[in-house]
Amino acid sequence: MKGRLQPYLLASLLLVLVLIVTACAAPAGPAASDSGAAMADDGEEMAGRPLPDDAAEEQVIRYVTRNFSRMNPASEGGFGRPFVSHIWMTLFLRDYEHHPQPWLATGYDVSDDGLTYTIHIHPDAIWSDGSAVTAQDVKVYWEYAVSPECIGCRMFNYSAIKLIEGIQPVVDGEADEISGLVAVDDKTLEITLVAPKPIIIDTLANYNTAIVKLDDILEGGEMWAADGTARVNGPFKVKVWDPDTQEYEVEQNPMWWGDRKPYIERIIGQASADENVSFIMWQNDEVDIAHWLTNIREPLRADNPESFTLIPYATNFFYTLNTSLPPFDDINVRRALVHAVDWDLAIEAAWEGARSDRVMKTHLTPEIQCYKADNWPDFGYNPELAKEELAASKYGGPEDLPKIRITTNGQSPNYIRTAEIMMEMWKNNLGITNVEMRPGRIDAWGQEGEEVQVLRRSSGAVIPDSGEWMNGFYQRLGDPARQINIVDEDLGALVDEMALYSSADPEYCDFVQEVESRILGHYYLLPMIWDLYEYNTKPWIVGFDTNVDNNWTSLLDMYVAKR
Amino acid sequence: MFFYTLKRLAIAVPTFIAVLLITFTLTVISPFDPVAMMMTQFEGTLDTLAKEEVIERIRDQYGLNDSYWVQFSRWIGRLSQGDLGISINGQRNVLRMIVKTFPISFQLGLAGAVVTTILGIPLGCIAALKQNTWLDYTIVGGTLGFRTVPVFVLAPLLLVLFVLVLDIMRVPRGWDGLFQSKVLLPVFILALGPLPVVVRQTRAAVLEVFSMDYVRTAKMKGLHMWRIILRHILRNALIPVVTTLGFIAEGLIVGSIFLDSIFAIPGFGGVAEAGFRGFDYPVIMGVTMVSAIMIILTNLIVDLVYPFLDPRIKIE
Repeated sequence: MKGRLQPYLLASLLLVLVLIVTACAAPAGPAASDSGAAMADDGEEMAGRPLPDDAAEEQVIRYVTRNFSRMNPASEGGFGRPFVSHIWMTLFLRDYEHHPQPWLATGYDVSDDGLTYTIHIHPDAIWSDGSAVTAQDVKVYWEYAVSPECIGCRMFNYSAIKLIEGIQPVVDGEADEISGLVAVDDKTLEITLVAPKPIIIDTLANYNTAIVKLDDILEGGEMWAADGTARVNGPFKVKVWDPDTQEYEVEQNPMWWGDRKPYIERIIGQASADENVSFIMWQNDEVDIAHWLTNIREPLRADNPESFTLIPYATNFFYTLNTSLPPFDDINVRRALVHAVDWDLAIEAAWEGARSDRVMKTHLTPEIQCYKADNWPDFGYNPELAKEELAASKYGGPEDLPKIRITTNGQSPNYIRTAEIMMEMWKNNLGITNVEMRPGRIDAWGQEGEEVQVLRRSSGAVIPDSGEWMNGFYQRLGDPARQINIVDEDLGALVDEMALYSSADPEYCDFVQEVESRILGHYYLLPMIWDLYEYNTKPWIVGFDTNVDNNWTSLLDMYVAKR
Repeated sequence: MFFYTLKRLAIAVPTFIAVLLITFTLTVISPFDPVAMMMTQFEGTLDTLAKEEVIERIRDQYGLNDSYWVQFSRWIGRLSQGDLGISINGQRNVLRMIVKTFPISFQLGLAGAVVTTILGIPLGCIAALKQNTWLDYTIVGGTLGFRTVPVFVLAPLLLVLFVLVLDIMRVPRGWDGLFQSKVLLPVFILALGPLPVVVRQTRAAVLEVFSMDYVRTAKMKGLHMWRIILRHILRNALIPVVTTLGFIAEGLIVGSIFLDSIFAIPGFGGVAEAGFRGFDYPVIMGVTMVSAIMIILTNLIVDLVYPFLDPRIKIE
């Protein structure tokens, strides 16, 4: 009997042993020690800043969002944006009204011909190892950031960056140096453009252009920013930022050179793919700041509207109509389909009330310069007008209309419901029944993919310049690759003229609004929403603010009050 | 046994290569573009026109515009050097991702299997001994009921109960090692999945052994019931159960996708989920490779352990 028990005993012992060994070998949780301290301790720490009277003792922010990616300003586009520009600083930082303010640079001069920008880097700016931030640092890093070596980086694609003299060979990997970037001295950078582009300064306020010490990337490998050893020039530094272990934490940079030391000592990022779980954390006060993407926030809107802060994104979601394919080669059909839908009602139903105030009635969103309500000619629900327009089309009515194919380009229930409501209203108001919608990507149509005429798309103004954004829409109109084939030479001339004005010119908005009106007048889209991205903050977070780049612009002055 | 093991491993090699080839082919020829999937996270913040140019550039950087054979030979070449490539979505080293996450899932999976065993075998035994009573129905029906509730529903419900209603804990998140209280809830939920399998298998096996002559003899000898159960019934009834536990543990280790996501556990399931969601083929290949190795090894270990459990079986 004793001998027969041995295999069981052995198996049990083996199991326990394996558990113990693997438990010991596995990566442990966040260490209490500061892995980046050794580097920072070499320098002199700046004096502390007295906390406001109502401030809590512990100045730690717990921030929950869907996901974090690897920390890298050049490829950032996800949820690391709130503070990435406070770690590696951009030359300028945008305020809530989208105006670039001095940040790593104190200011700039521009030549009379608008081609040369002289950027003055802050004389006190230093890296966290105590060395000076120089114009040469900026030049060599940007030369890397636009090159093919920089995987997933996006700086090369900004329209103003493309105009820097001599940049294209570097973008193509054929040269190492950009001739239009010259380090005049340690603190002066000269940028030469091949054509005037006033939004260059707006572009240099974007997080993708933030300045990193190139050597850290070249020597640190792919996880150069994971453990706090990378040098920073902003008020915060990475303590740990490791997507592999899902540990995300930034802390004050003890070598921060600015006049104001931040109150906030640490920001702990908490990635939560399940928003039901992060909402439970919110309800249990385990979270100070939350960023949700789904309707999970709607119950809060009714109970706690003051917890919301709008991120002033300029973003549209809509369905485009392929004007190269029938029946959308006829503007009367396009107009009829827009006028046959009660968009307020449709969006109310499709978004369950969460976007009722965000029905897309123009391209420009209310948060962006030059916004003008009702700038879309004849836009609005008008079934009688829709019938007349369909009758006036070359198809004469619903009977001879070719089949309409819709792709939602994603599985969002909101997009799907909007399409279903559109189809129902077209049926009721125009008698159009030969319509099919398939959720998902265009691949869902297989061989029929090339016949899809209605495709859900989005557009966002990364650089919040209304003229630049309108220019993008204009380019789309005449781009066969976008399946929109509208030729409007007068509009082209207007866009060219608009490009000569800067956003500070008094006539600027007149041009922008005229261009927008003409673009929308082509009725090449079925509108959905200006999207709504928001933060929720607990009442003890004081002074929270965010800009269009989803950057917590007020981070230096934010603090945690006593609960 | 040594030659048997060698033979089994030799057979496993072509199976392994076939799995990799099929997975790679399916991933590469699929209509989904991993770079376009990655860019969906920037939706609304990057103009569509700009986005396409960025996508094309990143596709070039990852060699996704190369032909199938170029991509496959490059992948095999890297693999031969122990390099599983860089994840497209997260721009991270796939081997390092797996090396960091697998031990965590391994511990969780084993812990889940242990809890399943500790709960499942006694419950199955009780259900068999109380066959067709309310207790039997409650055990079998209850465990099955838990199994039918998906993890992504059950976990938030339990969190609401424990965190908000009873207020006895905070939302357990992350990983500080196996012997931490925050692991209790994830392990318990993980164990609930295969619990009905163990309960039902134990119940059926016990019922079968219960009618054997040697059990009747033991009863006639006047042995105490628990002695009969422990010494005569369970030892024979558990042979098929124990072999099943190997596969259960393997399933728990590589299959905790939802659990990793809900409790922010940096485990293998999260890596797999991110890979499949983003059609991130270096990650998919790495995950498939590890899963295939796990299945092959588990099969082998179960086969090798079986003769120890049942001396009537010999490996030839």
